[in-house]
Amino acid sequence: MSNQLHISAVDVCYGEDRVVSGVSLALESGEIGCLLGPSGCGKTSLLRAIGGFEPVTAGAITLHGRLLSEPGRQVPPELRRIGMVFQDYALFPHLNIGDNVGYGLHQLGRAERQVRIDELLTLVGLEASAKAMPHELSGGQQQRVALARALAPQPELLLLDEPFSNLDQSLRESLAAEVRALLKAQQVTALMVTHDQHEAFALADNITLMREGRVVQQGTAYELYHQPAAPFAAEFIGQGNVLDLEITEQGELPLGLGPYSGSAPPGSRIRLLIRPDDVKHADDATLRLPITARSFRGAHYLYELSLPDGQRITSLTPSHVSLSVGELLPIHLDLRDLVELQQQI
Amino acid sequence: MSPASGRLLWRSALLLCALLLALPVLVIITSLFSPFGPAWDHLRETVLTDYLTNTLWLVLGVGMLATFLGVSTAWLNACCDYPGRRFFDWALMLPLAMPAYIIAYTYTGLLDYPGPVQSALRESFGWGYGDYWFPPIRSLGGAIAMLALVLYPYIYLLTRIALLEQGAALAEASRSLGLGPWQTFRRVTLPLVRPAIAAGLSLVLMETLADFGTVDYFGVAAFTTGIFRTWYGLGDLNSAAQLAALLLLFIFVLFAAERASRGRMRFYPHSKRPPPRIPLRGTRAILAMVFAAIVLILGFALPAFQLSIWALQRWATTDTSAFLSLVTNTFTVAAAASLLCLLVALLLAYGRRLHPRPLETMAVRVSSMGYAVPGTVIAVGVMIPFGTFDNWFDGQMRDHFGVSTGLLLSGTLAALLFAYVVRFLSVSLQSVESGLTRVRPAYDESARALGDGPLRVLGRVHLPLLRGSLLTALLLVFVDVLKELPATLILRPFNFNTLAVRSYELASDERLADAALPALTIVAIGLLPVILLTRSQMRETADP
Repeated sequence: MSNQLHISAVDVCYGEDRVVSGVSLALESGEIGCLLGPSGCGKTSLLRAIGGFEPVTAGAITLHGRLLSEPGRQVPPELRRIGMVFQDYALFPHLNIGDNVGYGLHQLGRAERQVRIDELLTLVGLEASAKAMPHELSGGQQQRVALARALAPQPELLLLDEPFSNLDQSLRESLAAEVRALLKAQQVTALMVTHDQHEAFALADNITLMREGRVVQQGTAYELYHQPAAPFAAEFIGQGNVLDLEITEQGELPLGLGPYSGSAPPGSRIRLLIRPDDVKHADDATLRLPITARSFRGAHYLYELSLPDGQRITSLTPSHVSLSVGELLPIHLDLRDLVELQQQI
Repeated sequence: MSPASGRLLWRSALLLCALLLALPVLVIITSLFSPFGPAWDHLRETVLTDYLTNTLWLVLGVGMLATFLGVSTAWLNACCDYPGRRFFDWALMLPLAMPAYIIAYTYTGLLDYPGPVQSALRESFGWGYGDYWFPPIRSLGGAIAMLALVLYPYIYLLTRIALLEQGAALAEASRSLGLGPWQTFRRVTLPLVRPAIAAGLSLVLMETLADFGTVDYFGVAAFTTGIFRTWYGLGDLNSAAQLAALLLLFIFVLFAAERASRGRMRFYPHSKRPPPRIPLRGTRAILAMVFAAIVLILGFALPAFQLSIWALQRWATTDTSAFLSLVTNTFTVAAAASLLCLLVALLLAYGRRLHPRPLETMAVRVSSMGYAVPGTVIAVGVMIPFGTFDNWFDGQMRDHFGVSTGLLLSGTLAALLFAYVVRFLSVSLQSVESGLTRVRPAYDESARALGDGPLRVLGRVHLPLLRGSLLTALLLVFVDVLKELPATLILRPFNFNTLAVRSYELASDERLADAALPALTIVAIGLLPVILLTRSQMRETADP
């Protein structure tokens, strides 16, 4: 398969301020990518640079081999064939839903345009609202109109800027799954920006985690969760505790945490990521740790436990094991996916 | 007092107020149903067509010129960047402080036959009287220019805000859908600011229809001058009222058109990111600067400069004590009117807040329609019922007690103040209501829960939060009264003069230089609300 979108070593600056530095990224046809990261990490600036709204100061952006951006040369947004779903949807308030969807179809004849509008409104399930004005629709409906409008001219790439951030929490994940099904059915290549890992997991094939304008890690959701490349990735995605440990002379983990399957020699120090779901309750376990805090999560308790050297780990335990702070919780560690972090990243 | 009877008292006070304030307009409307007298036939045969055509031309001309000036300056200042833009951002609002009738005499002094411009032309080319053509300033065209030059800021103000608030996202969406910058401007930006332009234009046209000083000074026969002459010259109040009713009809059409232009669109600020400005360079930057400067010079700087020169020339011979008593008169009546307006506005605004029911809401709306009604119309609408009351009361007193009370209300300050309240109440009502929206009901409730009685809540929560709005309300009405000409001219007590009336009288006697000092005083004080407006506006649309 060919690389549809190709971004190589791109910088984006606002004045003196470099908000994206040296980011490279490739998307294949029909693939859905995601730029994930906390606010201010440069993900939106990169998206806007791809859309043609910000110039790049280094590197290049190409789409299907067509050069879109390089320093000193930017193809204007209207010639890029890139659709965009804006964070607040940016539906034109003076046009009804049908005309919003038909806005980008100005090259088509009247009849053809109407056919395409109807097709898209049916696709997003809003065929009955063609004559409604944007403010008469709910947030979720407006979002679908924005999607239909961006897809109408059959762009080569679809950009989505925090597409679910204006919706209720309860709606987000179901909508993300819906949108994914729709994009896959239409074989759209898409790149989404979000700060919410659950949206990223629900929608994307491929996640680029960013921090302070740089790429921290690229990979699938599974890889980011189970093989984080840096403490930042481990902390940003999922929950967990990073423990500082010294391998014993016997080649085991210290403090009675159990056997060690990694490659570090005895006596060396390692940093180990322990997820709460790796710390399992077992009545017959020999390791018993005192509970320092607990919070009720419905099906589970999240217990915070204290290791003999004062470091903390958390355990996700089925909630019928109800113990109070100060009691001992018998646990064993399930370290099938051992996550060892390099020192100092 | 029980809560129920308190509510009843409040409610009746509110409704009585609304009824009183609606009285002048109701009187004018009912005049249409009274028989048309012989004076009406005379009017119809002679001048009515002139009134109609001149007023229509005035509306059309001012509308077009002010829209051109307002929209082009708004676009330059919201969408472009050129040297001096930050200065012009606020400076272009200054003409709002110039009453049109004042720049009318100033330009007459500058451009008339004996004025400096024509004198200089004659001197340098050796022309004599009748050797050359010069556009006559005292004409319909002159009136259009004067009104447009000082009224365009309404359109500038609203359009500029609309352009800035539209933000960048909509234009970007249009670009991402394949439309170029000019297509985007035509299909997205312009349609979205159209309601703002329409709102500004309707304010401009309302002021144009209400204008008396300019058209009167230039001898253009329009409705306002017609109403004044029918009353003053023909002494026929009923025909004056019928003419006034026709003028009201114009305003009603204007309102309906503005409403209709909004349609089903609903606008909300769209994106926090301001739209990117087009940086103008070289010739374009100079052209932009020159254009903005010309508008500012013609609308404000030049007339203000000329007025200052005249005032300085006459400073030595000015009768200071007469001028001071004129200022005292004006300030007293303006202060009294603004306080009265504020009290009535508080009564209405709190009434509606406490009992937000349809009748109260309607009463508030009816009471605030006076701002759309020209001063001439209100003056006639006040004179008729006050005169009728005076005559009736005088008759009753003579019949029953054998004493004649004469005219109790007509021609008194009370009648004048009443007219001011009718005309300017909506100004203070708007300030008070917008202030009250900031006092959320939860504040009342939490103060009450913390142990304050209603009066203490008023003093400790409402007053501090409202102080700014109350001061604004006072200032705006004060300045409006200061500038008001026709209603004062018609209703003032015998020999009672204000700055506006005095400068009008002096200018009408061709004593332009003597008219300058009172006129300049009006302009100087008129600058206060413009500065206030500009500052709050700049804060709202501040850009880095």
